[in-house]
Amino acid sequence: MFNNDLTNLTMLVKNIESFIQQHSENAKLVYKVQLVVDEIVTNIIKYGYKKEEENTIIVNIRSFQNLFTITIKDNAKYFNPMEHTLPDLNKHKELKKTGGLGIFMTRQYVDKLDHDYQNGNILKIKIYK
Amino acid sequence: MFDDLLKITVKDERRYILVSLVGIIDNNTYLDFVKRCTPLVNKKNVIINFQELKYISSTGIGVLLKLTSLSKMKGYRVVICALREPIIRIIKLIKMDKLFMIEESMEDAIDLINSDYKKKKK
Repeated sequence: MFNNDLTNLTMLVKNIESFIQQHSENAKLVYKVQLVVDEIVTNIIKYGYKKEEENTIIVNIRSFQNLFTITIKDNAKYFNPMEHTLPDLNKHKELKKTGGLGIFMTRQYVDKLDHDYQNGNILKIKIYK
Repeated sequence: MFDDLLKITVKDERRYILVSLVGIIDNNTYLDFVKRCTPLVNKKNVIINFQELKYISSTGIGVLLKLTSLSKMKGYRVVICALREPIIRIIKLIKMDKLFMIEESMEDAIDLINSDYKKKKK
């Protein structure tokens, strides 16, 4: 659990590395889980909350035999990454713009992503080992 | 606060500047990367060694793209090398691999700059 401050996010990304390494020998999973958590939480902090307000985001990562589950809870405005319009990659290539890519990158790496809204967003993510 | 999360080493060689990255590039460390590299891409070819870079977010990839564009405008190149497999994979997934000059190793990157230099000399 941490406040909606991007400085806290860096420590979380760093801590994910040791957690994943403890539960999987697949080094590729470290980057996958780091990227998914980083991009989603960044999105919540930047666009879900007002900058001057202090809010909380809860990130829970659990390891099971064949998968990692990630639950991310906030009390920000409604945002379902699965309903997010994906960027036109050809346009991005031509214009050399990168905005909006974070959610696209996330969707490439998750095996399952469910969204629910109950006074905040609840994202339940599965990444297979 | 984030000094230990991204270490940037710069070595000025005759035909290129070698930038070695150790750590992570995310929302908190990317500004340091921008500040250190922007003046470099404006004056010479730059090789960025990713061998010890463990993590890069979409923000970091965006910065890399901007540095590549800046360099091109000045008639130079940015060559990135020794990327870890998951980082190469995500760059390919977002179809940006054609926008970057990517080499497998630092030696390959140096060879590329040197062969460019020889071609220009002819």
